[in-house]
Amino acid sequence: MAPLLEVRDLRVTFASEGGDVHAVGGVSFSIEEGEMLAVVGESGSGKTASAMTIVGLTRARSARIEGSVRFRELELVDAAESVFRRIRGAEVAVVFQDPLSALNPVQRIGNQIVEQIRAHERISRAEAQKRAVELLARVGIPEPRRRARSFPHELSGGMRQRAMIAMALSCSPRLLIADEPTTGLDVTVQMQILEEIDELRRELGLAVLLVTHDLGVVGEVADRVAVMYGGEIVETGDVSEIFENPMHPYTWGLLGSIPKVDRPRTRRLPAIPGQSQSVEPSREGCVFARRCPHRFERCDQAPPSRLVQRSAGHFESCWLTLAEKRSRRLVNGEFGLVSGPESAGRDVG
Amino acid sequence: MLSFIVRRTFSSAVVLAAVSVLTFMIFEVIPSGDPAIRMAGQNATPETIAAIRRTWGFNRSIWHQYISMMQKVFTGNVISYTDQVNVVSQIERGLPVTLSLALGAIVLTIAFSLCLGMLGAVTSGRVTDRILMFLTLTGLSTPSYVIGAIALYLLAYRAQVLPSGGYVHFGTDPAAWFTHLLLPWLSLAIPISCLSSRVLRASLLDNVNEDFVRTARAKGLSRSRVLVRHVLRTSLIPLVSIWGLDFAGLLGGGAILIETVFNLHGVGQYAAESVAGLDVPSILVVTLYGAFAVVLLSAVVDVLYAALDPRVRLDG
Ligand SMILES: Nc1ncnc2c1ncn2[C@@H]1O[C@H](COP(=O)(O)OP(=O)(O)O)[C@@H](O)[C@H]1O
Ligand SMILES: [Mg+2]
Repeated sequence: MAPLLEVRDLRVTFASEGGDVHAVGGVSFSIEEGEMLAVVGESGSGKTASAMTIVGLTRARSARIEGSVRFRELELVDAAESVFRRIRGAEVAVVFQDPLSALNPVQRIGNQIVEQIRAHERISRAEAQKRAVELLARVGIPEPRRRARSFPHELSGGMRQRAMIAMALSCSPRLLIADEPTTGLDVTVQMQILEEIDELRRELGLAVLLVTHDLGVVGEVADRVAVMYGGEIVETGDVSEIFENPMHPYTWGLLGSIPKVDRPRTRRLPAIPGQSQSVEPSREGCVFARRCPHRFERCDQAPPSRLVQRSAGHFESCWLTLAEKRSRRLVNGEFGLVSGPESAGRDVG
Repeated sequence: MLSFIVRRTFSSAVVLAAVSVLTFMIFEVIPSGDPAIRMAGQNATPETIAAIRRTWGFNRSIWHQYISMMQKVFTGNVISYTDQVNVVSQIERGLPVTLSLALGAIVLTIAFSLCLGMLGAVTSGRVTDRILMFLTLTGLSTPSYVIGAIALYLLAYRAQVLPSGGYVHFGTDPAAWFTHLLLPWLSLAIPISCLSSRVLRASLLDNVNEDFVRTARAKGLSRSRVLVRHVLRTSLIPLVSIWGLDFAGLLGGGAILIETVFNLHGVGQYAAESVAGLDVPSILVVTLYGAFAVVLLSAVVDVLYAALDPRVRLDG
């Protein structure tokens, strides 16, 4: 059976005055029913562009989209607005970063949910209102009846994001796209929100595409992880493989920069040196070559084969041999990118 | 709400008192301001002038005069120096005209602004939008009395399809009321709506890129619903104050030139005549009436603002 969502060689290019910005440079992944895939990468790596393109919400008019996005075997690249309108909210729902700006500031929470329900189902306003209150209760909002009458600015950040999730779930979608759903929230609230999403997924058999820049938060909830850099997926595999047997130097760097509770506070977190960047069309070698301390001539000459299988369900794109990787990926006994005295102890950037 | 009303009433009273003092004082300082000389007419003997001064109290101190004038204002008993008619009843006579003029003009303004603003935003950057931007710039820089004079020449004088001026009460003949006011309404509405449609267009284009509009689309709402319920709904908030204060100006007799061009005999034309005759009592009352319309409407605007945007609090 075909997966619920299958993205093949997706490219998103923004035409801008300074030339084309290749935000997504050929990305492929798929999500099965009920599965949670986490797409992880630094800011600017093309996560949002990839996720929004799936539901036709790429903002700029100047965006050029190539490749294929199949949802339940329905092709969505270049689909008509009417096709998207039927799918959005009803089959694919989105939870955005920063619920304060993502919710309408002048509309009551309950009415925002009612509006979505009534866009897809022929039910009375009173009935939709009742369901909105049930949904708010379901996502753990206390006093849901009163909260339904609140405006977004009257709720706390965590409550707002819960309300956003309630709205997303209001028409029982098959796929939830959550773009940095916890960024900007308190750390304790972050985990609660992710656990809430995970619980709903198990209960409702919902598939989730979780987009985040924070690899640290996905370990507990995701089934699979795709690591993005410069508009490409550089490594993908089951969550346990990514955490225990990471293959790509960029993934090592991400793992190395996760703060650990038991680590002494005085130690600086080793950030990945250099600036994240979008794909350059003229680039010849690997996307990560510029920032990779393990780079050798080949990395600059040609890109490594895209997503080579390293073990069951574990793929990556890198020129290093497996033996080289094994000897280089540990820094001071932990995964990390930076080795050698000259680059140790950089500031968190 | 109660504290808002109390505070607003107090500050409005202060504003109106200041307006009354300033208006009254202006005629103390301008030359040939002495009303006794004008009232006595040409060839008056000094004795007549002195007698007038005594009867009207012009020989008393300025503060004394001010206070007795304000007493008359509060009892509705202000008598014009030029024609010895009660000023308040003159304003009452002009009020239905000015009210009809202001209401019609603001309704047309809102309708035009909505159409032009939305059309401009939807076609932004394309030919229609560019043409609109040019036309609205032309419109907003043309004074309404110029538009009125041209319209009067073309439609009343040349084509003779509309009356050339004057006012007919709605109760007397609704159709004639409408035809007599159509040109004044259009003359007022065109410059105002050219400006506010540009403000609306900019506001719409700002809001289109807001995150909550993307959320509205992500909910699967139709294009028109996203545009009206989310983009337009929030874009209208800044326009409430523009329209509210434009309306206050018109209602307060601000359409002086248009009322005069079309010979409507509203409050505005009365104001023009009072100023021309340097008639302090009527100028004072007309000015106070206009200021009252502005403070009242600006309080209404604030209430509407808070109703349209729950983030705004009245007492804050
Ligand atoms: N509307 C746009 N116009 C031009 N460039 C854009 C636009 N949106 C995103 N980009 C660029 O595309 C790249 C990827 O952005 P994005 O997908 O938002 O990254 P992420 O979500 O991973 O932080 C960035 O370099 C960004 O500057
Ligand atoms: Mg993003």
